[in-house]
Amino acid sequence: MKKALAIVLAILIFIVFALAFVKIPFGEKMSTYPHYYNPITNQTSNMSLPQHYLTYGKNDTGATNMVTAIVVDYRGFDTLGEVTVLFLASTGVGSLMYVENKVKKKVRRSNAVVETGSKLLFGFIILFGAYIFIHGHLTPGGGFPGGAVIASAFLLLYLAYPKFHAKHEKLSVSESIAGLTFVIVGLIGLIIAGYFLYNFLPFGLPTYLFSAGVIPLIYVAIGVKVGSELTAIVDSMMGVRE
Amino acid sequence: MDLFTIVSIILIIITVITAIIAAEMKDLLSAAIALGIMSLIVSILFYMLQAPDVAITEAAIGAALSMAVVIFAIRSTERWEK
Amino acid sequence: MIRPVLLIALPLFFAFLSPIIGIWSKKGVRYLIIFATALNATLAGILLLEALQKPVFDIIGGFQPPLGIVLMVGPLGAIIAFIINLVAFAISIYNLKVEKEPIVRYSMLYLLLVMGSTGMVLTGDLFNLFVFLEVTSIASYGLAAYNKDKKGYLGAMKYVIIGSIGSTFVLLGIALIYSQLRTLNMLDIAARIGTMDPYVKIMAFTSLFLGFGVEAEMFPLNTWVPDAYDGAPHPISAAFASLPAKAGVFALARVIFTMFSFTNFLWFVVVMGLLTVFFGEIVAYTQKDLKRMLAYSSIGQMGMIIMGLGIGTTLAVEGAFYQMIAHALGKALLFIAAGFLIYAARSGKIEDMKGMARNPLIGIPLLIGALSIMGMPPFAGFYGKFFILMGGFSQGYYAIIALFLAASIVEVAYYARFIKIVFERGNESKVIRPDAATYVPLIILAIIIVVIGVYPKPILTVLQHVGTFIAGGA
Repeated sequence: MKKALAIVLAILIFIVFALAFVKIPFGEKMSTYPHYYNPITNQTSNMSLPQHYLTYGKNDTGATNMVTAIVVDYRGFDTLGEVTVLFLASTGVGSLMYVENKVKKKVRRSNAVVETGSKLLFGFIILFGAYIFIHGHLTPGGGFPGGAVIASAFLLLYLAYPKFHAKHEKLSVSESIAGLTFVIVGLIGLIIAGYFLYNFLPFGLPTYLFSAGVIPLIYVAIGVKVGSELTAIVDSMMGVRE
Repeated sequence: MDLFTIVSIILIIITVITAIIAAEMKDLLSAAIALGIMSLIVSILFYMLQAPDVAITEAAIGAALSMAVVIFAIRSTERWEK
Repeated sequence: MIRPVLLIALPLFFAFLSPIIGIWSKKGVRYLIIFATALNATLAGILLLEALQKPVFDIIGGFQPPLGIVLMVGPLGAIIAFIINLVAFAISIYNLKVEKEPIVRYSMLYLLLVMGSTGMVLTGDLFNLFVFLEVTSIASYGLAAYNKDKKGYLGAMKYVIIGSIGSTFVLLGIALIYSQLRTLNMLDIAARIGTMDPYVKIMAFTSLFLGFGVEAEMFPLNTWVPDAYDGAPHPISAAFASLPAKAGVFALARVIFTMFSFTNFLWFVVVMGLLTVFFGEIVAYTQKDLKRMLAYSSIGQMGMIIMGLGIGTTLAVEGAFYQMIAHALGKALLFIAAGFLIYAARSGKIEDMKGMARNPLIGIPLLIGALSIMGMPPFAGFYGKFFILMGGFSQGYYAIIALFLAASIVEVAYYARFIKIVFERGNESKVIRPDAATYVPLIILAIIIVVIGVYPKPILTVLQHVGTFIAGGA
């Protein structure tokens, strides 16, 4: 009875939302989008918001990857919030998994193939993760996926060496320093140009590694932060082993 | 119908099936693995819809890390749902 | 001149700094949090003075509004932000009483809860509002389970499930709006809301309303409230009632007035508000547990605020805002006092607390807070209820007013019962003296309640701007 009710409710919600989502134009030409309006200067622009991003994005931010341009520069403040969300998640997991008298779990060794394989792969995975976030402004990827890849390298270590244990102090220091970098970059922009998170460094030549101003700096900070936070979550979940 | 549409329809159907399996399985470990498969297929869909950034993130977080965290959580309770 | 972004950037800075300080000194982190909230409250006060002149827009990243994110602070947003930070400062003193480890993580979560609630009030961008909603709710989940006992886990789990459903609804609503208008700036949305397809518009409004309704403790979505409040540490119960709830209801006001520009009577909102009031007040009457009673009473009060917003006349919305301020102060005070009473009586049951409030340091603030929440004339809570009533009266919604009054009488009844028990004679030997970390925040809050109750002119001056707020201004 309860289950039937739940299914009926789910189908009802699905239909109601499907009727609304049907009306969304999908794959339509960008020129038909409504033009945006600037509420501060009270002017209507002659193009839509996505069009503006694609047309002027490279000039505005210096990044060739438009997703990064939007994520880190146009809407960098949201990204700061999202980084904080992840920070909160890792802090919350840490505070919930905290136990005063740690009971040490007995674990077995995993086999030699896994150990050797993960030893070989660990460095490469870290390198790949670092590549993803360092080149975030040029190629697809960025701080979040790069950090996640780095954390998955640590996950491999946890699986291969059951006694492996990352130092919590070190992880929290690295995530704090990365977070502080992000906020301080923002505050420097506020001091220099009067806008928080202003891209105050020179843009350089597009498609070069040292371009797009503060974007690589912020993405490296995000990568380190996400990597250490996700590792901390995995570490807290694993508990203490002997 | 071109190949793109056929492939995406097949992938969407697999996504729905794995999602239902993940919700209905009494064996929590299998449910977690079904969830991982779902994330992987969703990430392929993202890639097909030309969102490589989202696809990378979804593959790394959805298929690897969150599944690992769920499995660690299952390990500290029981494997079978009552 | 104060930039609103500092109210968000500085707490973030201190929160990221605290793990490093925590390595040397855990006590240092506690005082750092008090300093950070005090600094924030001061900045918010200065910001309020500025916003009274004209609305403050803070462009972030140097991109003009619909391209980038903008913070939009009108007088009303500024006063809610000020009250949130003021209450957060008072509660952060009471935080010194929390003994349980890991205290550094607790302090960070608390500071980010404050930051998220402030951000929800200050932002002028719809997606940014969602991000801050996430910050606030994820910080709340962690804090609700902080006690790590059965009650805490139950409350936190309920909160997580309902909260994530709410967040999903908000995200769906944002997707619907963006798909039609291709913009996320609130004022830009407001300017072009008329061009949306009517069905999509209604769906978007409903999704956003239900989504923010979770934080605003609206009727069908508030089953998490009593459990989460009951299971959380005492300072956090106080914080829940006054920080995320107020930010959530302010977000509702933003959705109704700023974005969707509804100006007249909104029956949907009023019905939801009335149901919330009745559910809260009647269940509160039956509660024997102090913190659960206060939690249900909080639901009732939030319902009154939602109702005031729904009636939609200048007077009623003014009342709703006054009620937000009074409730933030009063409920925080009552929860702090409740924390002390539970500690003194070693039990959460009201009947075990006979005469526990007979020490004047705890008794007088408790009495002031309870009377203010009941809506007694010389205290802050009176004006809120009075204005909502007058707002409804002038429009001729007599049935609604009658129901509202009935609910208020129920409220007076159970608070009177509670006061009678805690001030009863006998049991003098067991009465203990609160320490400074308990009575200092109580006295701060009580003084503010009395001052804005006896001399409401400054608040009323700020609330004069309700007219522009309803008309869709900042």
